[in-house]
Amino acid sequence: MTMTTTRRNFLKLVGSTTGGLLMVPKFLPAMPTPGLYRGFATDRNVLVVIQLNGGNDGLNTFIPYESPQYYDFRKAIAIPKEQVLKTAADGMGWHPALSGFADMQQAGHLAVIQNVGYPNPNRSHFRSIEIWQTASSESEYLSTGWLGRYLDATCAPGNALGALNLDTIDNPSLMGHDSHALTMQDPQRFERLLKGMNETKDDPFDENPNLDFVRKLMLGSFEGSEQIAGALKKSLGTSPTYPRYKLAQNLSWMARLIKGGLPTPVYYTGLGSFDTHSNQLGKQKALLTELSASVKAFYDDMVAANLLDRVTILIFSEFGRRVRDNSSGTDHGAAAPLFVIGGRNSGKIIGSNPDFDTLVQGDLKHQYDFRSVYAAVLEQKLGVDPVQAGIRQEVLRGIF
Amino acid sequence: MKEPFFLSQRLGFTNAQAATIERLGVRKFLDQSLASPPAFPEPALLAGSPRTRDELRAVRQMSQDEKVKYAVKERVRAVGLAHQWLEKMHTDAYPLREKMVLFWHNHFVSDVQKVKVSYAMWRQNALFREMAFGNYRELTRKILYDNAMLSYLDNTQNKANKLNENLSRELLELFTLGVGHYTETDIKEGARALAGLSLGDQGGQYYRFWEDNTPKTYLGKTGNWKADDLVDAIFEHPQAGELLMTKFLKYFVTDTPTDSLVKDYTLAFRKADFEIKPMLEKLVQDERFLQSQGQKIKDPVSYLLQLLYEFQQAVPPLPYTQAYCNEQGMKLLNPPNVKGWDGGKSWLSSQKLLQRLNVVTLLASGKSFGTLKAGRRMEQLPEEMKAQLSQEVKEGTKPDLRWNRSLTKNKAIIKDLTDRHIFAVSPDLQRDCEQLLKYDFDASSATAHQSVTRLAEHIFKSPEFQIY
Repeated sequence: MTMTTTRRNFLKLVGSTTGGLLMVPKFLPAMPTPGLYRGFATDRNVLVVIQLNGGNDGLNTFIPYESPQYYDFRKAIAIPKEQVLKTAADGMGWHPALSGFADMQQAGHLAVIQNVGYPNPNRSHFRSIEIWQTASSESEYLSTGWLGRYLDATCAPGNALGALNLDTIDNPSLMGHDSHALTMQDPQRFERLLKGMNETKDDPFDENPNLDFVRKLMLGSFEGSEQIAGALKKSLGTSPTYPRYKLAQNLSWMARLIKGGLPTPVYYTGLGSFDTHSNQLGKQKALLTELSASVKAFYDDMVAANLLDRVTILIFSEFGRRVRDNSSGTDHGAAAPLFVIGGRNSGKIIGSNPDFDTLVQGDLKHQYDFRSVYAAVLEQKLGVDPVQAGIRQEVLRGIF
Repeated sequence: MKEPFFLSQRLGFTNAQAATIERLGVRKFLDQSLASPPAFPEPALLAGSPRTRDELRAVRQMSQDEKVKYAVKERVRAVGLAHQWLEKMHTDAYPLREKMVLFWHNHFVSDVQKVKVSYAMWRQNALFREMAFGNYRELTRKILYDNAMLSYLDNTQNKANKLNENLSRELLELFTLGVGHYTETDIKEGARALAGLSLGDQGGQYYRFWEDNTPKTYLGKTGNWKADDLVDAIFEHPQAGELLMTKFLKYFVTDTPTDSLVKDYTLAFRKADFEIKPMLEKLVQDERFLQSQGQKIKDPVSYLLQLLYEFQQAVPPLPYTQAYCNEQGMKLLNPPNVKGWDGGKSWLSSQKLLQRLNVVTLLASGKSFGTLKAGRRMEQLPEEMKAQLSQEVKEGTKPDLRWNRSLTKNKAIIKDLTDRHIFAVSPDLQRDCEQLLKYDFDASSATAHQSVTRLAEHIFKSPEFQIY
């Protein structure tokens, strides 16, 4: 792959791990993080971002099943009309694996913003996700993420828990000039180790005393581990059963932290890869099944804890896919639907159904700029002027 | 780790000798290492460092201003020397000799900050190199006549009418027998024997005017002892050799050697008349050594050199290595005190660990150290180093991970890397690796190398990688 800037190399390869236990930002804060926030985070809004990696096919996710063009363009992979979950209005329905989404929409808790994208869409995974994460225009190259800038503007110095990313590598959305985000790879393991550390300081993680020593050093060196341990402890026993998907595990862990009062405003995680050039039907079905079950479990958990109004879930992908299918899948496209769950959203479907008459180079044309969605989240949920996060687009009204 | 890699790291600094070890077998490899010549010609940068008594006197007679300037120059020479030594560790085909030089440096400790004369430190370093595999007793004898040591332990102030016990004490306490096997009187008597032994043009020499030529009683024997006699007496003591063997085992085998292991090696050492060579030969045939993976925490120098090797990098310019060694608490030619570096767990703290991980981040992200940007990532450089910065900095070659490019399957690549770097692969680590380099990894794709680099980054940042 040709890299035009070294920064792109950096973003691609960044992965500041501390050995699979957790990843810490490049500089550990010298000052201790502020004291544990009292009570639940119910008077603060929390944003949960789920990034669908690889370019999810929006057209087969939120389906224009009444449109004959849909079936014309997709002779190989169109979802048969009788399989579509027809709970949405105006001829739009859900992929059969998204029963959870259909339920949430029925309850009025899920908003869909159709045809989200940006001008001059880029169809490279790397470049397009970078655009979404840094909220740049297609010709700009920014070194910070939209949420990173938000964190820079709002977090106290030394606060390493502004955002919690559950993934194997750092997420550029959270990268700011300062370090307020933490990436954690395996929360279960982290919890196990924390438990081990707190319960019996003498009990080794490992039989090898050197390894034990290094692990404890790595774990203990993270300032926020106490706060996380505290929040986990508080929420012990409050967890319903989540399905056995990785996404569900990550979300269940976030749920415990939110219920346990961790003052972290932003959580981030991913699912993928949705890059279905071939065998799309099988692959996408499996992924959407995981997505639906995991998000629904988290949603149910938040509803039961009376926290759904404070928790906003944002689900997007770096691009949709080409309208016309190839023999068993689709190539990279452009605009796609974006989903918002919780956060007292309007429950509406914003935007028109996919328009097959105005395709640009065979792809759906965007109707809304993704940055206007970000602006809405920043202003109406995170309580900051979007300009502070480097976003100059107008707030997209009607989501909340 | 596969044995050749483990041995390469233990009998050197990095994986660089693994292929040779595999080819020759460890015995032959040791033979080659022992036979490699002590080649390190006097660095040109030492010109200007005083080497004769006259030159030293001239320094003492400098004006305050001149002295300050001289001190800065000496400091620059000293770090330059340390840097060249580091480069030698990295580039020698058989680095075992340099490994032993480092061992001796950490045993017969002197530091350039106190000694203040880089030429003298160089001579000491050269002594260790020449006698790296030689005789411990004879090296002890020679070190008592080393200008740097005499300076460092204040024997230049040790005169018959005004004794200074420093060298005599450390000779017994730290260099040979260890606490509990001599008395305070022995120290005093030893100081008298060493009185008048001070700097000379060719190394230490006795000065008639300050010598004590009366009888001394040392370790039970009486006579007009001088430095050589002290050494003879010490090495006739039944405890002689145990302290050194403890350190030897800590250095090569395990951070925590058992009493029985120490006893075994001490016995052999004494039988071998305190020759180091047979101890190394014993080592490489010893199952306890060969099975000792996971028993040592990497010192900062080995850690750095290993990463440089894995990313095919030369030693970075002086300001960076100096900053790294400072931060990590391992300044070559400048140990913290006469006890030297404790090693083992004392190498690590949260902060130092993070700094180590930052090195990985830097290399894995494709940045070489030879750029100003890399420099800014390091701690504040001392002023005089910044002057060097503009001369030394040039664009380095890009870090490029070593891995077996003929492999195509993710598991094989993971195994290749863990075989070279990890003493024990836990299920968690294996799972992490398989998540990072998935089953559908395509070795022919344009991003394959980056994917493997990312995997390697994770491995290098694992707690396991801190250990070998």
